[in-house]
Amino acid sequence: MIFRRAEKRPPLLTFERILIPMNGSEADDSSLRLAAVLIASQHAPRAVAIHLLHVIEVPFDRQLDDEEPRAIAFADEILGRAEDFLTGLEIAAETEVVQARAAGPAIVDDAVEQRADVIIMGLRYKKRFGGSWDAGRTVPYVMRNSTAPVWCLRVATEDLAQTP
Amino acid sequence: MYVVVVGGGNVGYYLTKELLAAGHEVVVIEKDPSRARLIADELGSIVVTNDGCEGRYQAEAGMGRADVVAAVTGDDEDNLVACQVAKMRFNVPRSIARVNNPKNERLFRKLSIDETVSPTRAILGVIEHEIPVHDLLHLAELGGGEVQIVEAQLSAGAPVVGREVRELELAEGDTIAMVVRGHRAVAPRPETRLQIGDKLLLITSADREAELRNLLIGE
Amino acid sequence: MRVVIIGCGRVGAQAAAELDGHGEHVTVIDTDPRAFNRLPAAFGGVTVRGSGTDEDVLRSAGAELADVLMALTQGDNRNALAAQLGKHSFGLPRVIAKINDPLRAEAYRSLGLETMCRTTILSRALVTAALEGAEATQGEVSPPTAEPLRGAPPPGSRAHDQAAASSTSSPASAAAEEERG
Repeated sequence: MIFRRAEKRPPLLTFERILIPMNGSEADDSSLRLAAVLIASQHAPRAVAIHLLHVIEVPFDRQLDDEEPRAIAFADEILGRAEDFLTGLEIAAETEVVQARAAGPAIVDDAVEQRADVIIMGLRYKKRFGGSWDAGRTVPYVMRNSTAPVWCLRVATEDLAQTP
Repeated sequence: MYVVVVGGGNVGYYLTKELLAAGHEVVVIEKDPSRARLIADELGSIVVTNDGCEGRYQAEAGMGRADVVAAVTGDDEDNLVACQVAKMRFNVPRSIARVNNPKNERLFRKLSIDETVSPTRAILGVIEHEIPVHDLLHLAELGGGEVQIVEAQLSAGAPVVGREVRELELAEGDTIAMVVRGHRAVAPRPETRLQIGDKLLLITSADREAELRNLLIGE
Repeated sequence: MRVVIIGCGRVGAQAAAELDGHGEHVTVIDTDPRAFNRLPAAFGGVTVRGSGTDEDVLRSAGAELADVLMALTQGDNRNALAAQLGKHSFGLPRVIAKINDPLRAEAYRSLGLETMCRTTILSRALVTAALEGAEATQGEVSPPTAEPLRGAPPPGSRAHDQAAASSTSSPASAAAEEERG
């Protein structure tokens, strides 16, 4: 009985377009799993579009469109693996590789372009030299500048923060 | 063209904006983090937040493939060093320095900075245009300062007023390129008679300048 | 000998006082008149208030007639500009610039400026002190003298001899500057 009632209830959150920026770290896995859970909660899971994005950061000493085979191969590998994972769950996804000077602005721009309802990004637990927590450049930038909501998942760590 | 701009003050910011609008690739090196962020927010990921006089940050900004370096901070010494490091370490083909003290222009040229731009001199030029001066006004230098393009304004006491161009005893190599009368430019002919208020555009050289001034404007 | 010193910090003041004590004709330039308080009361040289990177100020300080110009301010770039003014605008026989960034010091040395790099001098002195032990330093770490840390005027020239003579005194003042950070 309860099961049927729940089925009739609309999902608490509805999504049509989800953007998942990926950098190849173990944090990618968390965002993929969360996205899968969210999709399963939707009335029409197949109608949800998932956009997997990897940004190759090109330093200024090279031209922006200068392609580095190793970086391209890495992008293909992580996006391919993510796609395989989602396919196993019968979720279709688009993948995109973008070259930019910095990942943050590229993600924000892409979210606008894709009309994403949400950006889901993973974050590794890192400490700066000296011990304070380091959120990196990209996640804070996206948090600060994205019009779409941003969900950031910090992965588990055994390394506890020392700062009070 | 790939342009590295050193200094993200007002000059650097507007220069970068215009260069981007003209379709060039630009990177700004600015050491003040809040200023750098402001520019990045406005113009995109084209800012290196560090000291533009240091080789390693110039390397980070891609100075190795730059066609032009423009050092436009408010400090002459920083602009000089930024350009010299860019030339010495990265062989940047063209260097442009903003020079605040106009007296530094000559030195910078001597130190193989390709172009100097002095806002002070520019404003001075405008002011000198407005009020009568008893000197030659420098408009441009060519050939590393050897060839000077100057302007002489003829006031009432000028010795050449009322004389024809052919009567002037110009030194060999000196030329009157144009006579500006009112708002009209007149090509000088041998029979052109010079009047009060005429502005003469002349080509001369640094060592003949004093002589030319005496001839046209008087001692 | 006429010496013009730009920057009356600890290094500049001490060098000025010592050269004055040797009977040389010394002029010190600094933008901050309070900096001249570092000079001893007995200082017999001239002080000029102004920017040492300004050609007019240098001229009024008599820099055109100097035998040596030393640029010893806190700013590497200011020193590089002042020294190059001396060398190229005034054609002075000798200019010395204090440049604390070793890479930049090296670069300007290759452009013909004599440079003095505190970082290099201190680190070499400390490496020597560490390797040779406490007996060798006897309580005071002094710079290694084997290698002159400067441009290379031809051996036998006046500049060469002077540099050899001065290479023992300047690093001590550089150490004093370091305390100030």
